[in-house]
Amino acid sequence: MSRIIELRVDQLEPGQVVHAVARAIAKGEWVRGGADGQVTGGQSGGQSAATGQGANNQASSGGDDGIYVVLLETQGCDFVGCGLKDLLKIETSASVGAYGFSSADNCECVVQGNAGDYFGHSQVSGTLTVMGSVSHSLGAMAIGGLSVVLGDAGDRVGVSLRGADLLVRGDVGSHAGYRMESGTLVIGGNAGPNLGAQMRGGSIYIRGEAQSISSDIEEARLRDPDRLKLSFLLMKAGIRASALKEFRVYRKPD
Amino acid sequence: MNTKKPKGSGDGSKRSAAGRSVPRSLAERLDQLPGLGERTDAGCRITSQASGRKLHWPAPVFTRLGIDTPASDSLRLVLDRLRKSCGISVVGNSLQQSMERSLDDGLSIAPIMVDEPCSLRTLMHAEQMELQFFRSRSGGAGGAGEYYLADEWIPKMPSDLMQVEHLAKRVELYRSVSDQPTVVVGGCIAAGSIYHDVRYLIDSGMDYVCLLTDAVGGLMPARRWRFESIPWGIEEAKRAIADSGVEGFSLFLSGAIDQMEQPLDWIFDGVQAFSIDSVLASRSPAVVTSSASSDESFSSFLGGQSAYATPSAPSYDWLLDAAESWLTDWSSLRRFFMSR
Repeated sequence: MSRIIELRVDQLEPGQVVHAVARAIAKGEWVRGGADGQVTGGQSGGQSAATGQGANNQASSGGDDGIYVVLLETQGCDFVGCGLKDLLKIETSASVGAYGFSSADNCECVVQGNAGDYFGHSQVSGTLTVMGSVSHSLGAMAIGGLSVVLGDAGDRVGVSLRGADLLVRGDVGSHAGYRMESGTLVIGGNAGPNLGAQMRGGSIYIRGEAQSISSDIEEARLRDPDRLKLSFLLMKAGIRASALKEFRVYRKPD
Repeated sequence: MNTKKPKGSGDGSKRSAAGRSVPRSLAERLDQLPGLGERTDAGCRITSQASGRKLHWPAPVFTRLGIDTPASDSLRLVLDRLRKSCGISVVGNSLQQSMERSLDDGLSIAPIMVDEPCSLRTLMHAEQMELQFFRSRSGGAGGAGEYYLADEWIPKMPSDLMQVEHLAKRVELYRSVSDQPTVVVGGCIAAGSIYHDVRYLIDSGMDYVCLLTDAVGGLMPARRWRFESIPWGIEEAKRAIADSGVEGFSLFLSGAIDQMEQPLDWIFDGVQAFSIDSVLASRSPAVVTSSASSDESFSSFLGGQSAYATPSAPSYDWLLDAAESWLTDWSSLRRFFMSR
């Protein structure tokens, strides 16, 4: 049975979620799924019924022995979930501030709302999902894993990207893929000016139109490996597979 | 009844109880550095701008060998012993976290290359972090052993930060990740526009700046680089700190020490801590010790590295002897002035 921990982030020092989670796990502060399978209390009282239900659903679909962490009262809190590692499932009940889930490693994180600047900065592996929109510099310097944004994203999506995959279902702002070195950026909507400026490697897939495309990149032919990768990422974002042919790919010229 | 003690005459002599003029001791007659005697702590304290709390260093001495030179396991081991047995603080990768540090141990300063992804887990117990504003190169084989070295100390700004406010938020992130209440965050800069760079660091909420006027790029053989004049660098940094109006912003110096007295002058000039890498490099048992200026091409330096035969498994135990010997002399000299 999955064990569930609930933490109120607004009662913690910024950036200390990872320590609080570690302490809660060490002390066995399960809300549900402890050794006796009973509710053993928690820091949140009864205010997370909906989220708890979601957690249960996720947990039941995610395996038997996992630890599921629910972060409550995250609105306006910066640095939520920074440095988390090997926590397979974690979810926030609301939006998060800047640097959410930075440097996350082997975590499956869901943000039930919007995210601030530099979401997923230096991500190592795992999957980050934002149900709303994100501010600027999504996935900056991320070296692995996948970030999925179901809304829109601000400027400089994937700045200095180092190998991770980013998917934005809606529109993105200016300078998407700025100084990107490797990895994949998928844009389901339109892009602002200067797409791919100073891009050094990697691929940008775009479905809509870009206000302007940097001369540092050029359109390439969509090949089978591209289609395979793209279909996998689109599936993750819930975009229908038939939309595949509507995408174009841009890369740095050889 | 007049109970006042007789005062010194100010002409190099003082009066005995009998009123007879006797010459001052040699120690008293040596030129004094004004204000130095007010320092009673053999170490130094760095103020955290965020919390106002102070982080204590047992000795105002640090080394950058862990980040400026390729750090093998044997070098890391010796650097850790330097930290524990000599109280020298060490900037370096993959050093032991400071959770078990005693008050006499030097600190392990976690380096953060500004233009590389940062693993926040390595900072979670860090007492001190230092952003390296240099281009970097990988020093590991990737994966868990991946670490970065300052690549020829070429200045570099973070490519994903556009404004000083963004850097301020990044500094706040690093600071908040650590569970240490006295955590301090600084930045290391090299030759260039020192005044503006220091102002940039201050405006971004950092606690100190480390000014790199000289670098040691290798130990076997020892190689040194000079970027800037030390007095000019200190003057520019101090001017920037003074103009910022921020109290308690600390200045570190990584410069070449040619004479034992130099660090005393630096401390008098407002430097809180200094690097002894140049001293350690000068005592390398390797045959050649040479230095280069920033006018020389960087490629010639790297080319020169391969011209020397290095032992397959170099031992760095001599670093301990060199550091202990120098620190003993330094402590004596410092005590001499502090006792005044």
